[in-house]
Amino acid sequence: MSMKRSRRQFVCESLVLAAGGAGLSCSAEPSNPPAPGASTASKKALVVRAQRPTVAGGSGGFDPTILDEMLRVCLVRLTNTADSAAAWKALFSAKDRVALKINTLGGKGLSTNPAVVEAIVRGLIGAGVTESNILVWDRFNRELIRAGFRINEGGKGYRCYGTESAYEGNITSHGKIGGFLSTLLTQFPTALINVPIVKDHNLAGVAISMKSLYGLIDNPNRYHDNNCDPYIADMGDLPVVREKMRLIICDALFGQYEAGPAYQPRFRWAANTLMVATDPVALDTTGWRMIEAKRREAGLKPLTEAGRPPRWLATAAARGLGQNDPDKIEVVDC
Amino acid sequence: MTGSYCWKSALGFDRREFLRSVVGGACAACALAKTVGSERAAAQDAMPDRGPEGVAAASDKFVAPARHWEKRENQRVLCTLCPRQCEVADLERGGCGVRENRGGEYFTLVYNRPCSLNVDPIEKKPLFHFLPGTTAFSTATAGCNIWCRFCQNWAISQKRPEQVRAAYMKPDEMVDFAQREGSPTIAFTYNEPVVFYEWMYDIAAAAKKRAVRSVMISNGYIQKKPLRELCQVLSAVKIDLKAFTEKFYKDLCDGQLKPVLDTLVELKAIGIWFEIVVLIIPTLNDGEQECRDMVKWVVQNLGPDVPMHFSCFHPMYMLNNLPSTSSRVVERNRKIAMDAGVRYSYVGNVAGSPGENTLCHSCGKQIVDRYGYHTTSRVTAAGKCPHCGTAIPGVWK
Repeated sequence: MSMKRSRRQFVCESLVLAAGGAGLSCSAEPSNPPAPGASTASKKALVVRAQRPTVAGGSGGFDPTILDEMLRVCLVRLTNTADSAAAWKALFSAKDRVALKINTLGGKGLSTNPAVVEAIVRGLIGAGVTESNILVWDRFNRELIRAGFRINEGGKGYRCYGTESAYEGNITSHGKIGGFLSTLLTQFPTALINVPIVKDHNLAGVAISMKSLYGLIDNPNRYHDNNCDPYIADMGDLPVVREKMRLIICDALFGQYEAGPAYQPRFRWAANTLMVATDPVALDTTGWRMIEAKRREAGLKPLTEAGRPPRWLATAAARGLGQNDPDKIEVVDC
Repeated sequence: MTGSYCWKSALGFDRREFLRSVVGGACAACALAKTVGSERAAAQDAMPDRGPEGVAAASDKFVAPARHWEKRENQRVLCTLCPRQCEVADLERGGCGVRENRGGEYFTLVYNRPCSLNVDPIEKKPLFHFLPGTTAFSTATAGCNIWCRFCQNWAISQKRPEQVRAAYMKPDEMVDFAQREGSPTIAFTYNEPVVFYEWMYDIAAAAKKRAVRSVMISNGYIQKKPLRELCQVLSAVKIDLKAFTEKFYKDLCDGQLKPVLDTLVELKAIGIWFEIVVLIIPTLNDGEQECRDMVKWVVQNLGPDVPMHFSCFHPMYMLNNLPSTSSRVVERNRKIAMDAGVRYSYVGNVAGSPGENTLCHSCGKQIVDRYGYHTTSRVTAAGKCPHCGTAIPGVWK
């Protein structure tokens, strides 16, 4: 973590750690105790979900009013604040430059939905963040376009573009990973929101928030041996990630339980859910359980028996990145 | 070059300018390359290869069907080109970063996509028993199937193709260029040529029809079947044997030793000419016993006629904390090899060392003089020692 911390921030982070949450950064203006991501009563890691079957509108779209409400209830519960504005302000300030790392590898059928991103942007603007200081990004423009996003490199509104080849000039080496990080992570933002989806992965087992971090580095192809362990944990443990990552808002409007990471329509289900957390390990563990539940329904083997256990979750937990024990995760359904 | 072909780059320069810029700099780069490590590619500026939609529009011209793979369920593929045996899901790439699954079909992303073009002395590969004193028109793409922390060409080998500036050159155009530059050989080198197998094979096949030879400078990480097919169109191979322990390969290369040894045995069985290079790195693979074990294995499994080169490491890439290798260590290794029965052993990256000269294994007289890249060979056209008439293993004409 960065050493440039105010005393208030140090206290905030200590509360997060003590509550079993991840060592994620807090805003310069921390909320009232308990800190974001911590369960109120049990000191478990907290994952908050909102499921609304009515969120799916006609012709494949999603109702923005319902999305706003889902996001509001989740964040209010996560931050233990009174309303949406207070919830966002507990995590972000007007001075922040916020990057939303989305996941668009799977194309339109299995990517972060633009409607979810729009809801997040509305929330950030409500917290005082300047719209032009919001960047929505993934690796490539073509993947963003394919997922339904409009590229905006400097026009009106929030920014949206891919890393393409904008990587740092110096190698970052951490654990077993070594490569060049995207400047959209290292240079643009003061704060990062991870906006992943929920899907299985043929090697990692599941690809949710932590696997999505592979989009931060230029050579993710190197990190798939041994079911991506410890590489996913190493990515999550990068100092720049631990410093900047404030929040995970998981777009689980759809999920996919088999044949990922690419889109396979017959294995996709409408979960109509948003999940939020500050603990990436807890969130991914929760998403894993959702996938396993669907696999059971479909008569498929659990991922461990299918030869792709997400063992990197235990590695990430051992690194202090979060909680992977379901008994120590409180999942609150709002 | 074929005059009717008109080529315009999305990058704002034409192919003629690109080729002039690399070939013109080749000779000046030679001496430098000799001192800092052989087989260093021309400097590459990372430059996005992008069109209006980003990289895809400009790069799809480099996409071609891959060879040596199998379909799996749910649109996955199993790549059978190298020992990594990557199982690749739709939209993902293999470990090499240059082969991609698209809808259950596997593609190479670097066909006709050289990012490095140089005319090098053949000794720079190094190949010392293959047409000495001639040049090799050398090329590479982005990508590699292992990850050596000391790679001297990491700026292309450890990058994805969209991160590296490239030209567009078809196989026959590569042969045209080699002939125009007076190179009897095309060398696939700098990065790991196995990862651009399809383009390499097609160039070598085209070259063979026009009496131009091809050589592969490789880490040996290739499966038996593609290797056998490839050797039908190649004339020689040089294998980088990184070390003689699995631990080194695992910790420093993300690879394994055994597949490389299997490749060496296979090359012997195929009967193609090949040489071995070992880059000696202080504290990591410079032990005397490791050298003894290695050369013993070489003599027992490959015979005494496979030349072995022991080269000095220089701080590079992710191993900038280690010193350069002392010339005494590589000279020691050379002596160990020759005492163990390796008939032709050399030192590398030690300019002016007598360990770069070739001595007849029978009469001991010097038959090829080397100083830097100045080479004088007295081996007869029939491949014999001019003093005692002994057949000298290699390709001499």
